[in-house]
Amino acid sequence: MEDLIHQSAAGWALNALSDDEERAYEAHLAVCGRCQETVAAFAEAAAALAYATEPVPPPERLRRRVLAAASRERATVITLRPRWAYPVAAAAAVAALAAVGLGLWAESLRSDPVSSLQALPLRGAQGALVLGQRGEATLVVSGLRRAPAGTTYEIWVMRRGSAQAAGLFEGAAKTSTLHLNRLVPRGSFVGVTIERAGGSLHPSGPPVFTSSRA
Amino acid sequence: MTALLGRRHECGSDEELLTRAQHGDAAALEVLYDRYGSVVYGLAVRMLGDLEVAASLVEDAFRAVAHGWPDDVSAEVRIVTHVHRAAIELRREKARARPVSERETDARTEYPEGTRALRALSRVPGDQRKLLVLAYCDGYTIDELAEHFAEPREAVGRELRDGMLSLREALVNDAAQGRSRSADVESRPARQRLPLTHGRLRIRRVPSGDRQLRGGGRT
Repeated sequence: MEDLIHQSAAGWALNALSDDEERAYEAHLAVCGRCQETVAAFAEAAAALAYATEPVPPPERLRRRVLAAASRERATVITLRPRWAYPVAAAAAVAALAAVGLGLWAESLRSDPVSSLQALPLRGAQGALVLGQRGEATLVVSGLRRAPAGTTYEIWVMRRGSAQAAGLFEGAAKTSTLHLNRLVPRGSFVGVTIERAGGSLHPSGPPVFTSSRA
Repeated sequence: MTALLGRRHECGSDEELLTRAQHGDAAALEVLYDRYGSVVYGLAVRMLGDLEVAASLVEDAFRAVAHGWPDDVSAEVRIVTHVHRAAIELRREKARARPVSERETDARTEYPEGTRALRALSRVPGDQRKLLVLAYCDGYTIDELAEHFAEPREAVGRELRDGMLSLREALVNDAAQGRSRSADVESRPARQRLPLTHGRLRIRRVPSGDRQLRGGGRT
């Protein structure tokens, strides 16, 4: 079984797995160092395949649009379908603990030998990122200012050189408990940016706060 | 990860250009665009068949790179990966299951020398290359390919994996040769660590008779 799932690495790097397989594999990937190494090695091989297609010179106006993007950010026109609708096993416990007080709560998780949860501190905000064994994640953050009108906070999982949207929130609550809609694999990090209402395809600016998973 | 793709000469390495672009240097982004824009635009057009949407994805990818956060993934891999993933998601949103069409697969039978990627591709066995191209460039899933070729999906998965290993190996070998050819390439470890070996990943050797994918379903 383990060998079979390792075989999925190539399919995953090619984006050729079915949705269900992809979900299953990513759950495995979050906890398997060997697979993480494998898919990282496959990433460049996959990119090389782009050259199997005849290059097509893009229209000149695309150059202008791309260069304008270097200096300023614009609304994103295409939103990707969220591929994760992930039940977080520890959600209820996390929410209850969050109320106790973030500092104490993070310490109690860290020192609890029975718990399979891992609490990571945030850089740039008060709170923690709580991870289950498979990388399922809940972000608890407090003391944020409500996102300015017309904008939203957006959570990102950064890995493989790209940011994957993992949820939106307004930051209106004193303490926000947010279940990420995708897994946080080892070696990736979670960041939160301010985006236009409705969210963006990718982060448009530096993160407001981050947390990394070792 | 050590970059196997990417270019290191002319107006600066991809890494330098990426850093400059991330600091708002439009000229640096333009060099990256000149290097990779037509490759990813060609890929997006092929995958989606829609020039406008393809242009949007390319724009998004470059914007993502320009506004990206530091990472050890090369600019080229980032741009290509971004466009590919976005195109795949759009395709799958439109149609859950599509019959495989091979109309474009063999369009590029010549793999001219010139870039590392093409040199490496030319070293992948033909059947595996065809499957890899159908999966990556045309966006077919393993299930769709298995149905089309009337093969067990495990066989298709194995072929794809073996093809990826061949491609990876060719890229690594090519990078090593490139280093020994020109001493002025920026210093890199003399021997590239190869995290993948056939021995570690190969589960069982496919009997040679099974390795040929039948061309069933082709009309």
